[in-house]
Amino acid sequence: MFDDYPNLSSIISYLDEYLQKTHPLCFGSNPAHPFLGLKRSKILHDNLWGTNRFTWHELAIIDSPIFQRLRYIHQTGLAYQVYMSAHHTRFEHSLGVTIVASRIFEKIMDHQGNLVHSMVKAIWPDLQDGWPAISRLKQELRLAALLHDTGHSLFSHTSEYVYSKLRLLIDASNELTKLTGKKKGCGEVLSFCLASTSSIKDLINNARPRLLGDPASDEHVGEIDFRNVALMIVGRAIHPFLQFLGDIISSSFDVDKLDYLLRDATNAGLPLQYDLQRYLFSVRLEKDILADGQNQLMELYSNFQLASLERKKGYGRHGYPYYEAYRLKLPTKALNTIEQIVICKLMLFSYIYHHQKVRASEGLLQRLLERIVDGWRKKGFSDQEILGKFFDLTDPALYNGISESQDEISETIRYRLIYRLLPRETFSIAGSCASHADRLPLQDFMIQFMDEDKREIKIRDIELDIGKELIKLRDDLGDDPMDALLKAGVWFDVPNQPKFEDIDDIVLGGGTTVSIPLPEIFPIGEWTDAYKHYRYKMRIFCFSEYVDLVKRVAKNVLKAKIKIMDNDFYDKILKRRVED
Amino acid sequence: MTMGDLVRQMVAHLSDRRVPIPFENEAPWHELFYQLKKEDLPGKPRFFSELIFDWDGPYPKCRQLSEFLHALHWNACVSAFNPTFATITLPTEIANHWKTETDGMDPEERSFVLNIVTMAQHEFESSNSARYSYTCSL
Repeated sequence: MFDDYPNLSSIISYLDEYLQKTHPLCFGSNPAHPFLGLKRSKILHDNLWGTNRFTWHELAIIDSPIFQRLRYIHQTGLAYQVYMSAHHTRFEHSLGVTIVASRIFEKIMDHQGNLVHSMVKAIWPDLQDGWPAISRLKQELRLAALLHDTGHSLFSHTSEYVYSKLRLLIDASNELTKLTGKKKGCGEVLSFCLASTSSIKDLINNARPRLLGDPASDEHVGEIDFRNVALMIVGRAIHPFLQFLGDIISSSFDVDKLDYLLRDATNAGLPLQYDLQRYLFSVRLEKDILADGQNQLMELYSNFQLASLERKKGYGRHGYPYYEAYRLKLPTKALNTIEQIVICKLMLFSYIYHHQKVRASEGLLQRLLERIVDGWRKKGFSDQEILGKFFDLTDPALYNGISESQDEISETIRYRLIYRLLPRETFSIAGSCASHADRLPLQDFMIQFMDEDKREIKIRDIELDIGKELIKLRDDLGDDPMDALLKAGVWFDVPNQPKFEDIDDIVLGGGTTVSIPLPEIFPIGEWTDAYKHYRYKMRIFCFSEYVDLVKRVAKNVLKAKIKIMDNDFYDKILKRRVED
Repeated sequence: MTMGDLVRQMVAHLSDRRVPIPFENEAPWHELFYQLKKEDLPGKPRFFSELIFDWDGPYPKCRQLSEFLHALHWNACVSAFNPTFATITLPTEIANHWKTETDGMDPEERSFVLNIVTMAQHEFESSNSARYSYTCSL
């Protein structure tokens, strides 16, 4: 499957080598793990989803280092510095995602079991009985859910942002995008590659002969297709009829969201809820179109040589070739649940992900990691070696020392992160800050940062201008503007916007509201746009010791960039403490 | 020229021509940009070769374009008088301001932008009529 994808192949081979070298007990040529006989299933208790059974396939993975390391990676990064109980990790999240994926699959089988059975018979016509294949698909779905976050490194998305700049990963994510026909980020690349390693398959193969108890109690017997597992992680499957499995793991209303929304809210102590039971009651499969204008799906599906793979001609005005696929949908009568999920997500952005102190600590950590990666590069480390270092790292590394040779600036940042001496917000700019007269220049300014091709350059421009002014005014900040920014803890923070653009894709007609377009019943566009207009903020941070200096310098830089000359505007966006 | 620059120019000129600019139904935008990516047109900006389209539904969808359209809407249109979510309604002052950028472009780029605006006008108007006839048939 990876013949035409050299970067994906090289990451998969590297991960195999890395795992065998780092964890020889589990992945070496003669692994001793599992040391004793393995139970065919175990009961695990989750604070959100209760008591659940996990199969031996899953236990083999859960008990391995690639999954155990998730215990030490906080789900919401450094958000626990603001919400002190938000110490939940990728470990329990991944188990939760597995539980919810399984429940969705079971509900689909309750509602449309015969449809799934006929689908399976169409894909594998030689099967006498389709039910064992269905139990295999369920096991593959659960494994995809379990493995979907195994590519994470320390503090989740903060490190992901940093290692996403590695050329090897950028090229690999382009290859994965081509392979799947969907844009894929670097975080997904790593989980996809891990699921594609022979090390993961070997874990299962090594466990099989050591199983205890009666094989008849197994829900699924036989081989797992890890190609299907890896594809589900990135929102695809080995056949278009099975696309709903990819939708369950990675789509606009996937199990990842269904778990993290509730888990993040619960662990942060926020009283947000949505009704999973109603979601499960309503979820359905529906035949839909997968257009394939660039032949990417044709190339993908041809790897598996399955039956009923009919590529039809001429869909829509532009006549794209297409496949018929079965997709996960919710009827409009389940709208209450969708509303609850969207509100939950908006609130979490407002309360946690975009909270100014969470942004401050994660922004500081990002700068520390970037500096450490620069150091590794100067020492001649390859992208693969840097990737290996990120696989070694989990959150405790922040407290124990991330790199062997950190310089004074890095050590100061690390000290500040550990003891929560975080930067302060000095300016905070929202779309709603402008008066009528200031609206045009502010909109012109803000829109630049929404343009992906300009964003980084524009941010660097502002930061560099501030850095240049700082070194003119303070000798102790040295003569390098970039170092001065780090010493003063200054940066211009532009968070990603919350996204809800794919909501229409999952909603079907149904109930009494069949002919009413979704946005008329549920004005999601209005809600999210209003949120962004009033609550989405770009900020300038700096360490407390430099607040007065940075206020002066940044105001002048912002004045030159935004081109609003009225001082009242800068008074409005300036963050004041009571004594100010 | 970036994708964001082109979209801003298109929206400004289409507003000036009073063409309804789709927002809630993004399909015409994605269809148009996909056709532009495929076609060899003089003055076509380089960013088109980098644009990635997802094949995950009935038409190709570019996430970068989708995100920019949303940003444009909440940035520039929420403060518009009587904003709608079916279409992009750009305040006249912003449209006029952005349109002035066209005059500063080199002639080939400028001619490309104006051609695309005309193509978009046809695409958007025909998709509006297609949508209307579909709604009536319900």
